[in-house]
Amino acid sequence: MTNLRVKEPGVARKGEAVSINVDGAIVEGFTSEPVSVVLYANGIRSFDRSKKLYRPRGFFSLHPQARTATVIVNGIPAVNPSEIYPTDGMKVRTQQRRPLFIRFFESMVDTSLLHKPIVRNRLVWPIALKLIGKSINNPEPVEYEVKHGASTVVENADLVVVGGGVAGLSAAVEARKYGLEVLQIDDGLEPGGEMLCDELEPPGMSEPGYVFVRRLREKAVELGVKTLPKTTLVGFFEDAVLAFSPYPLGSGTSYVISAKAYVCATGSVDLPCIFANNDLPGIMDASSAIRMLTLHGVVAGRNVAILGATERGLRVAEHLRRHAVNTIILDKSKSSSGKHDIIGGVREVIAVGKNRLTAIEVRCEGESLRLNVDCVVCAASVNPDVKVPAQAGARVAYFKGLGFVPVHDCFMRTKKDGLFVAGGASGSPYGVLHAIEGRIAGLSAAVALNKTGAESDREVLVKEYRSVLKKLGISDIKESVFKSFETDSLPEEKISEPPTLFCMEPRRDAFVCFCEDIRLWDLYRSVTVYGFTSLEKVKRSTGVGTARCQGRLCLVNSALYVAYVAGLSPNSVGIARQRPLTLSMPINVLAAIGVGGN
Amino acid sequence: MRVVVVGSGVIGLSSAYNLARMGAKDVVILEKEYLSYGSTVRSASRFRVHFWAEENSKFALESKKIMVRLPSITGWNILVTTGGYLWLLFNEDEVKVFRKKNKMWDRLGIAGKFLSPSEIKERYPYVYVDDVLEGFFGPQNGSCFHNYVAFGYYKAAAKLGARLFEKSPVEKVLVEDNRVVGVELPGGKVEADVVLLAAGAWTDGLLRNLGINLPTEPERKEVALTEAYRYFIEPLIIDFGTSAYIGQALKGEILGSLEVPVKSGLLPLENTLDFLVKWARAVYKRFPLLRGARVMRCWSGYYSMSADSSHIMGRDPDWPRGLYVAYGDSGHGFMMAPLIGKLLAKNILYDEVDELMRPFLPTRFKEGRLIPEKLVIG
Repeated sequence: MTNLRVKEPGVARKGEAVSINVDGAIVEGFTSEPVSVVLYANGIRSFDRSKKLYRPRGFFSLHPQARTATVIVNGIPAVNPSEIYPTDGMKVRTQQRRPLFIRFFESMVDTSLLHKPIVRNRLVWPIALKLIGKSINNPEPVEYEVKHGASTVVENADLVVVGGGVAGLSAAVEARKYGLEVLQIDDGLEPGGEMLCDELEPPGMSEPGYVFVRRLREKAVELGVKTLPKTTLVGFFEDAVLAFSPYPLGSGTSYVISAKAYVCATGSVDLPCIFANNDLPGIMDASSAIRMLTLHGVVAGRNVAILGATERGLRVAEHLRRHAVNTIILDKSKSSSGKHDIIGGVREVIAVGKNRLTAIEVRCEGESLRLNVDCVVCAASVNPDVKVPAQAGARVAYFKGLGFVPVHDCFMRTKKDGLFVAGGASGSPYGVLHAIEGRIAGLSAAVALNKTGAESDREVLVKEYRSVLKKLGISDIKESVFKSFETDSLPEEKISEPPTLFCMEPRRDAFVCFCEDIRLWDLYRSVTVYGFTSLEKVKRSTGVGTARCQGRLCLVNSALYVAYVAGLSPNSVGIARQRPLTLSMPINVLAAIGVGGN
Repeated sequence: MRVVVVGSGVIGLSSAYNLARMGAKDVVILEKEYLSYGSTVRSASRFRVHFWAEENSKFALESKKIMVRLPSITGWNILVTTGGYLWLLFNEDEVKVFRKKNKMWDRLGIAGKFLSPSEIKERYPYVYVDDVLEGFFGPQNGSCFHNYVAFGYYKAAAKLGARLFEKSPVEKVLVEDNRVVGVELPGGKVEADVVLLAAGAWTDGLLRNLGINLPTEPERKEVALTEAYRYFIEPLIIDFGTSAYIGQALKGEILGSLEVPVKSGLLPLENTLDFLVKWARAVYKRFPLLRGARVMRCWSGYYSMSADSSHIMGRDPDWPRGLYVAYGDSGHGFMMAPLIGKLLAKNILYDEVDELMRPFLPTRFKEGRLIPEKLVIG
């Protein structure tokens, strides 16, 4: 097994060394890295089996909301190893069971076979039902002892900033300058977001990203911004806003929040690329690859293929290459540049491997080649993380070049009063724009709370914002979003092939949803056989977007694919209604809300 | 003859299918959002035959017979399970009521079984029964997958020539010379000889526009769902006192709800933390095994509540000719839909009022022949 830990640590401070017990074997890790990373660094890539087809599952993304694989930790079932951090002596059990009758079972759950006369027959169905009930690979609920009970904290603030990245920090700092009480919620161990992982200069900036964001973080602390780390905003309810932290382990802490304004700076989601066997452990998103490297000092692989010669893809390659990793970039367009090893004109990718990725087969126009890689990084496309703003009531629409975006104006206001967006969550490309948008959102919150001087400061900043947009060449796209905010009209343009699609036909082994094993083929059938062309109906006929990750990884890909197959605009396909919670919460934590103190 | 069905919920679709099957040539379904938007997609998808009122029990019994045959009728496997319903009863009065009702159910051939707390524990070891006096188990009840029921009906109706128009909100029913002539949409009108209002909670508004006032009101209900766990809760388990219920879907998600006081009316389809916390507490107490289970999602939908909590179908002879309704289901429309559609189609095409349907006519309110239904769950 090659060692994936790089000798020099990246920009991060390492936590204490701990050893944890994984299926009986002792494994070394650090308290500063999620359990997923400890497992990955020690060569354990498959933690779980998928729900229907029992395929090996590792993590695709380290984001806590991407709950595609779970493990048993200290006897507690269904724990996402990406959201918890190791302690000495922690016991982790992975799931590798694969029943013998799986072949038969596979055919039973296949959505097309479910409706075949032989299966739906009144005499056969009860037997089939028993088999399905028994063989769906769901975690076993067990009663476990909780050392520390769940607790509830009531928080009041003027402004709640969701997300601790550069946009969120900028918003918090700016609002704090005008005297607002600011509460910042971040799901990481420490705020900083994506830019904290950047050793290079982000676009439009003249210093490494982590240096910039660290300074901003110090500023926020100095000004008295209150931060809740390892916490996720889970829902906007009619009567309250709720946040949740999975600590203490086994129960958790809930925060019942009320505030006058909210800034959603939840960043963006790297969309999974869709190709054959794209669910194999070892295939991950760009943000996880960078984060593992710079924060935890673990390289994603020794030979890495990167899908998409985007700004993001090149950035991943640059980072990995600094640590002597062989990288190759695969892109759909024909152009290739000399600086990086880019293979252009890629039509199809097929991943090869049994329990982990061992190689990929690449089909370009006219030729096909096999690359021995141990990791594939998906960097073809990103979409704003709209779960929180959409659920809060902001209108979400598709704009070419940005993805599904909460519709906003140049003051970062959304269609919901008191709700602002900034940074990746507003669809803006990574870099200096995130900082500017964050500041504008913070100022808009101050304006909404009638703070004197905020409005004129905002005018000045918006001018600067518009000129940066022009300089970066995305002025037209962003202006079309601002215009939609005013006019309520949406672009009805059709789309060509989705950028994440590396698959020439609707294959049965190209996965769209990793939680429920929903394939490209299932979506294709829903559109062509049943004639369903809105995502709400596709969702209900296939189950896409209804499982543990709440559609974080699958909804945008599904909407774009359905639009592509049906020849419609993504706005007429729509993105399904987002409902609370964004991250699932244990019953005992919910039951404890309001019992003590409140 | 053109029939316009307003609403593409399971009742509208089942009516459209039956109309088309019985020979209606021109059936048009108008839906304000998308296929089966409204109450059907938000349903907890259960069916039962045990109702307070004998009329409802009889109706549900016949409806269930059609429901379980649906896979062969529509070609969609609706994933029927028959795990039963388990009512947990907490005091003598509740037990007495169920004993009395069971005599009626016995007469209909659907007698249930009374279980002592220890018997419940034996069968369903995961239920906390220390505060339970007795349980009533109705093995005839079960669940099926609501989306496949609706999609199946839609596909079958479309095959027979019924046409669905989505994003077509009906604003008004048009009446001339005391007969229905069509409906008005934002972009124009659709002519019709018969208009069937099956728009669930939105039916009240359309009727009120015509000066018809039936004692119905939408009531928002919330539902919560956990992540998927291994399938182990077979029946739907109901706390009779608080109306809290919990059941497990085939995919493994554990789903349930309970009653929280809300204002009636078309409240926004949002959720409240109040509901979620109360439901979590009910689960925490009743199912110790699920204390660490993770709640994944909640949503809300409307029950179209009628004054006596029984559904309303058919027409009042005083109404404009050609106007029919099917709504006011008070939370059990999904399970009644197969029979409602069938009987209503007969009623519309042949002017026939089936004996099973007669008690549910809208005239019952002014004639004072109510069908009080007290077994409303959730």
